[in-house]
Amino acid sequence: MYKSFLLSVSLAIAMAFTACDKKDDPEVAANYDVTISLLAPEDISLADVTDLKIVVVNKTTGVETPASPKGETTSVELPAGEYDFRASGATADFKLNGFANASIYENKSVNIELNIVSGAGLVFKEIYYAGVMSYYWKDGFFELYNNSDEVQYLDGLIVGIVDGGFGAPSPWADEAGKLPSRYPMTNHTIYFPGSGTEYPVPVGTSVVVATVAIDHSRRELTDEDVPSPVNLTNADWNIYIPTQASDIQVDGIPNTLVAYSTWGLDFMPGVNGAALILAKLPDGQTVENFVNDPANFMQTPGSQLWDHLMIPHEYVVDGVDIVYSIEGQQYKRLLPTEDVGMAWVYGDTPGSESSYTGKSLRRKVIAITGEGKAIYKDTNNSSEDFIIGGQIPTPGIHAATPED
Amino acid sequence: MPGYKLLLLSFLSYGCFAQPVAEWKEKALYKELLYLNHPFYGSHNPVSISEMPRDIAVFDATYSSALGEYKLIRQGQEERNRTGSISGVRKIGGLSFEGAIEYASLALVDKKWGSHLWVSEDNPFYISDSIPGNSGVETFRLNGGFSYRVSERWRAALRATYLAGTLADQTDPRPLTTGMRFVINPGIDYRLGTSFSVGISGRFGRLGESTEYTVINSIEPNVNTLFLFKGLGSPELKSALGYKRSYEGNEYGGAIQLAWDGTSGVGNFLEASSGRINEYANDGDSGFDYKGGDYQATFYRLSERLSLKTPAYIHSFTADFESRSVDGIWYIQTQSTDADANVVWTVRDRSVSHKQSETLTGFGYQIDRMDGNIPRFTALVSGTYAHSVTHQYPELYRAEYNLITYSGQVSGHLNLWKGMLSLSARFSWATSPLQEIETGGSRLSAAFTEPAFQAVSGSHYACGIDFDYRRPLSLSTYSFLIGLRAGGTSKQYQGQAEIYQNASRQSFSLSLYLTF
Repeated sequence: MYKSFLLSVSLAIAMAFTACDKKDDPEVAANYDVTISLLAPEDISLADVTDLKIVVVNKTTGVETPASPKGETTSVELPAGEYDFRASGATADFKLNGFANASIYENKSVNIELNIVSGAGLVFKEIYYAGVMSYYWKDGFFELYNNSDEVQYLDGLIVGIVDGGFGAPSPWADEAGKLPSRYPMTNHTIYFPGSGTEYPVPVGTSVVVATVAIDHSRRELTDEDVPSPVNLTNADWNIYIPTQASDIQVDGIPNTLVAYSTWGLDFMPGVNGAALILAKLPDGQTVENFVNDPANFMQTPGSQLWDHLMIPHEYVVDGVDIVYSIEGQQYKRLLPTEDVGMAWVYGDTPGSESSYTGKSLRRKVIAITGEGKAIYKDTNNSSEDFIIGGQIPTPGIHAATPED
Repeated sequence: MPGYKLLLLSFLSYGCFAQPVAEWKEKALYKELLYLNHPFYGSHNPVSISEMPRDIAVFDATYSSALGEYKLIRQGQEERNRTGSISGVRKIGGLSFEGAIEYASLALVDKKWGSHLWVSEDNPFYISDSIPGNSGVETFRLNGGFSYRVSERWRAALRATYLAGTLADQTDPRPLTTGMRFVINPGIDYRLGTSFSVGISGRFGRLGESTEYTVINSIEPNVNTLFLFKGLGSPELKSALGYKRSYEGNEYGGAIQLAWDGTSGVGNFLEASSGRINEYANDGDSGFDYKGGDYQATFYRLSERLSLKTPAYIHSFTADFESRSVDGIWYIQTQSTDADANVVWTVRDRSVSHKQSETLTGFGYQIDRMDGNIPRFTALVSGTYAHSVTHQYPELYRAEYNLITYSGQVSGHLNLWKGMLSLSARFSWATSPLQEIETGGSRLSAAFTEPAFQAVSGSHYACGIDFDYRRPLSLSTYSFLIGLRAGGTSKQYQGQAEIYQNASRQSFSLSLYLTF
């Protein structure tokens, strides 16, 4: 009797141990069917759009799922998650981009509205922001290239860094993740002097704008210092911030001007990157007048730390959404009309940090003209247009053969 | 009197473990004799503490090292371990006490992947970096228990084990892990008649562990990335700077035992056990709270031992079966910032992303040639069949293998130089008739997932020898054994994976111990 009692109790207890907690067990992770619909701008038929591409990017893992649109709709299978839907194409007269973000936790339909993209000939050809060890970032530069078939002018052009930090959603986005139509500027917002035609950029040429226009490759090294890969003594412009005592002017190289500043020792997108825009105010509007208008300022939602200069997205000539290199922490700062994709630099392996790698982000060359001029890829999709991961900086140098 | 004798005598006068010198051979082989003579020994039930026929205390100092490429993925290329322990059993009337205290210091050279300490080995949710570095692991184990003979038929027992440790890596990114595991293990048994007894035991445990990464003055930008693993691949990447993870866990289980220890020389022991382990990973601190995955493991075990005793031989037949299933629950979370600029993670989806099932079946036969109460020669042959299937969803990654292992060991115990020398030779051969892995080219497939899979499932052989010499010493009215134990093992990969071609691993250990 004792025996049967003990056996019964023992078996009951053992089974009870393993039966607990079962009621709350979730389902096995599954894929969902997502139908993507494309909406063309008014007066443009999707039938006239060529090179139509859709890429769906998981915002956590960075995994890209291409989709092949057939007509107005297509469908893909996706695991649960948060996604960016990026579409691009072109007609004979326009480039088109479209962007949507969506949460996929069930079968769903997603609409992507295609828009005519901005652009006026000048593009960021290269941006070097990563710096080198030990913690040296003053060797940064960006290079603007005339990718059009007519002369462009720098006069009055604004270059700014979009606020929003890195590795986290922009505090400027609304609850649905939608970015505002004006870009908040942070750090130093600079611009080129001139009344309109004083600083031409001929077809197929570029200007290098240096944070500090010196030969950084010859800086004195100590301990764990790594030589900088750039010599910026041939830069066309030097970024000079008069309010910063540590900044310098360089003989023979003109300075850019400061439109407005929040903080920072110098013009610095940060060694992990930030979105950059190149903007041109409407004819008749001067930078000084624009900055003097209080309506062009806002404070960060939830913060009263700074007044940020706000630049309407329709003023943007070119933009590059440079994001953090760790894929699970990449969040957009630019609207699809300026950049539907994202670009970043990393170290030896994808996903490693960009900081102090000595690498720059450069646009791909898609063709060489009969005159030997490079034509850079410019679809307003930096994921496609730039060499993701970066390269050794090449200020003022253009590839001699197509790369894409 | 020489100083060392005075010191030793001081200790001996403190302890009560000294025994007459005539019994030193049984003391020397007490573990072997416990196995042969007491069916509950080694079982889940702590009433086995009562099985020890006499008081005993063991002081042990061990140095061991291992070197070679053929290793589990999170082991160091080279490992050096120093361990010191004191353990013993003390009997007072119907009460038997056991206790042990152990400190170990492990140095791992070129270690990477996995910064956890006490988290279950098959928990897919662990935090890791890919930068090789030299790590140090210090562990402390405290064990105590008693078994009380309540009556002629009843025994009740309780055992408690506390593990604590730290893991530190001195190469950026630098994880610092601290953890503890606490387990209590109660049990009772009831004797029916003279030969048959039935027992029941439980096991309840708690886990607490935390890891914090720091990066100090590194010139290598890659070191700032770490991986949040979730199974066979596709880990999430995070910045290592200041990243924190903590685990909380619990376990509970139970077992029943049926033992027959007949006077005819036939003995049998059957134990059925099951249990469940839960571990929950949470990242961040007051700054943010990110769920790193929930682990649930359920297992069932059945162990059977039949022993047949004759005056000259003891035959032991064993059969074991274990089934273990693991569910890994992953959370998809979105990041936002609240009005105070704090990062907030919101759970958007919770689903099973990892499923693993394993079965293990084993059989063994051991023959001991006896010289009175002492085994003089032991031969053991055994075979195990392991089958494991792992899935990752929704990617449909999959890994499956069978591993059949044949093992043999012979041991002899010889009288030598007024002492006893035990010599053992071991050999095992594992063959893998099925090895399939499909991870769809995930990011770490070549660097981590496939090598990790090969390390546990690949065909290999291993051979080793051990010797153990102890001799009695007397000091005043006390006697004790002093022993020296040494052993070495060589393991050679025999599979087809390129990464482990010609890979092997050699290990060596040397112990000095005193048995009172």
